[in-house]
Amino acid sequence: MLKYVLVKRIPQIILVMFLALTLSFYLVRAIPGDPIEVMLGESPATPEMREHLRKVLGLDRPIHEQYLIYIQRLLSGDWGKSIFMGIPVRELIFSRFINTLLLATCSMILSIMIGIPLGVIAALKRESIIDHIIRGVTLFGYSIPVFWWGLILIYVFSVNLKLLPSIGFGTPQHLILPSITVATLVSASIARITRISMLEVLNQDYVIAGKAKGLSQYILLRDYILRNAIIPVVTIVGLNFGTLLTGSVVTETIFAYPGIGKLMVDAMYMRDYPIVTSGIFFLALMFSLVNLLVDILYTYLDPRVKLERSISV
Amino acid sequence: MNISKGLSRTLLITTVIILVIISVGIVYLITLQTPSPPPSPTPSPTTSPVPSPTSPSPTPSLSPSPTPTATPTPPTYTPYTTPITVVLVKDTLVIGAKVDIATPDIHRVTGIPAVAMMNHVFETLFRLDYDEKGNLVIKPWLAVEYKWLNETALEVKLRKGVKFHCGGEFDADAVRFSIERLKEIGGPAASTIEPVSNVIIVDNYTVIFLLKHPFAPLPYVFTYGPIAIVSPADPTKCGTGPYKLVKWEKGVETVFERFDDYWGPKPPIKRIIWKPIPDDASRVAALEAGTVDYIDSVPPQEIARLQAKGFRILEIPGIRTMFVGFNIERWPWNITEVRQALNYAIDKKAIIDKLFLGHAEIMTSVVHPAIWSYKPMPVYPYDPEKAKQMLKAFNIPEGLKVELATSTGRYLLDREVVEAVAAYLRQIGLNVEVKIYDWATYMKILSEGRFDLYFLGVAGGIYGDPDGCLWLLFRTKAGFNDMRYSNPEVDNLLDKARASLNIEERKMLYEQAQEIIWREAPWIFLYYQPVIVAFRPDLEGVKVYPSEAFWIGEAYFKAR
Repeated sequence: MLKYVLVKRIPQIILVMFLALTLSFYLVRAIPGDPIEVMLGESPATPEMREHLRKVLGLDRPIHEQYLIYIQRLLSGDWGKSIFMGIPVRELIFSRFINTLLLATCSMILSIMIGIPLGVIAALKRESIIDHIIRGVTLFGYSIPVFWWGLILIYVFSVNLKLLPSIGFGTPQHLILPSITVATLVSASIARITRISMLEVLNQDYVIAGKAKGLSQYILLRDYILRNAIIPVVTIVGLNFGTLLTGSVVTETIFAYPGIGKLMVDAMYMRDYPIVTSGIFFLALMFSLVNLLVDILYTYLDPRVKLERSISV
Repeated sequence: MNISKGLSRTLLITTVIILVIISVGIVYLITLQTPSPPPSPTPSPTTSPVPSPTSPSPTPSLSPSPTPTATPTPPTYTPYTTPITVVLVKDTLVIGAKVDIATPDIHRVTGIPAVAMMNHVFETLFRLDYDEKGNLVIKPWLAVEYKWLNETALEVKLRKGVKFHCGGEFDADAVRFSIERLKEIGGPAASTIEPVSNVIIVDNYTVIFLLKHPFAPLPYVFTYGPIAIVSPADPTKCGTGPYKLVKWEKGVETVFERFDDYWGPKPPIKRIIWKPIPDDASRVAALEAGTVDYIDSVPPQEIARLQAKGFRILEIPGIRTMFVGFNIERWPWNITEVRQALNYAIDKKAIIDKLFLGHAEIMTSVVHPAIWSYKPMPVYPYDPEKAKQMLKAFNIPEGLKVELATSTGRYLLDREVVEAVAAYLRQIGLNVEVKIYDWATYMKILSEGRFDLYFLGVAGGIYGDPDGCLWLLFRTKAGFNDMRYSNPEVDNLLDKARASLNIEERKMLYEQAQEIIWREAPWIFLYYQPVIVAFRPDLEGVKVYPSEAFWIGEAYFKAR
């Protein structure tokens, strides 16, 4: 196991990181427009001033030279400085990522707590009125536009009931509305996957055999059905969590939540190269690590999955 | 069973290893953060994986107030209860703003509202304020007076007895330091003082600005927010304004507290909290919920509802002139009559009534009405038949393909306005294609001239001198002249006005230039973008300017 992680996955992650870094570095510079245009576009700047700024920012050098300098600095722990804010990118990304991690964790816990029970109940009572209601609700949760839902929550809980803060960040209360907004979508997808996966397992012979053997409904559910049905759910949870870690721009914008998604999108619009490149590098790393964790979790949940085999074969 | 147990043990170990790697990474990142962030005033969420997820800023707090007066009481600020029920007279103002204060460094801040907020910390030499007629005039601020020694030397007398927040007196050294720092940083603000070649210190309270070439607007340029004076001791934190910066947390809030040693009148409001809320609907909801007391960039369609709920609205025509520019290097836009025809083709009043619900004003000159030398011009009336005939007279073929370039999300209702303009132009037989670019690409398209028409708003008059509305936009090859407009007569008038120190002469020259530009129509003249703010009914004395700047130094809450 350890060997698998060290020999196979770590080099893989390093390769992914390198590719993500290189691609983002060159692609963001390949799209038209540059930070100088954005910064001086709305000011009466002379060509000499543009040149001065280009030099100050180090954008006057050949792109490959910039790339080498960037890699060199990155390896020594210097992620560059934001072009527009003049502050170190590492601080920016790190503080925003912590906020995003907080929101992602809360919404994920909420989603799992809502989604899995809903899916299980729907599957056990399949084709009953309860199943139909749950399926209807999850469809609603799945297809609802996030910006609209977030605003509805603000109007109900902040403007009318005055129970929760509408926007901002800092206290646990500030997390509630954004978490619910994000969790609505994610829990719906978890519930639907849980239901389908449960239904598949419920029809298996060993479940019927277990029933015939007289196992209690609870033990049957816990040790036989859920244990097998949970695998695809873990995949969905893992993927969703990975995505949430890269930020949820719409939710962050509506609730003025200082997450990493908005930082990255704004940086992209402004062509703030250091934030974009270092940000993608960091997020790719996080995404890879979450995926690795999910893979490892598989073997724990399902002993039939043996990760070692993939190298020994 | 044994195998699976062994397996799960290895699994657990690997999981633990990975978790350790992640946490080591996180700890590494924390330790690399230079000063350890102080605890934020609000309790950090309990589920937080690290001790302090907030306060990422390298400059989170300033030294405590030097005067240990009656300020040590803990802040009564609670963000989401309705403050009216808590305190009788509020002394904290919470602002919900569209833009964030991206950096506390005044020489780098962008976005006029953010700059205006920071001008409560870092002040400019002069200040643009209303006179009794509502026109914008220059008033002394950190400087008390100016005198032109000759065409390229401006002598400025500085105010005495002004203290910096972190100690030390404001003097000529600070002025020179600030100007040189601005130039070194480069960026948008630096371009406005490009003509300044040198700052000479005559004595502690007198400086002379030497210019590369005559530049009469200079005193007005010194009213522009980013051209502010910072302390050489600590340029990113330490200013002279009525408020000092106590906390800057990017994307969350910036907190200002009254500076008790301020040289001017002491502001009634003790504490200002700036919260960036980029989403329009959320910002309005935050005002309704009582989370914030004041919001800027109110969408016109929300005005009636907010007023019905008892909030106060201030709306003024902004300095930003919204227009559709022609690419004059391309046929047929090089023909003056064709450009005039397109001006006849647009029903500006309908655009303002239908899209802005009446909350905007039709452009009556390229110089803003509040700026001196403004001369109102006759608006091109809506006459599509006349427009068609004019196009016919110049053999413009029916269905001529026209590219109208724009960016969206930048100005109030920009997309809707562009679509309306396109629809009007289609009515006179042009085959208009709207091309939407993201801002950075758009800037490049404009500088390269790859368009027929383009929609833009320019706040050239931001520092209150007509030179900004005219020279920067209509002088051949000037910075904002994306139209590629070139008229030697206009160039001559504008150059002469720029070099002249006689204000009457300048005024006359600018009036002539306005007339020519209006007649030659390098733009489809549309409207002035409205500046709309909303706030609690008990807030008094907020000053809002056409540039989107505002002043809270005299604002206060009425007792209830």
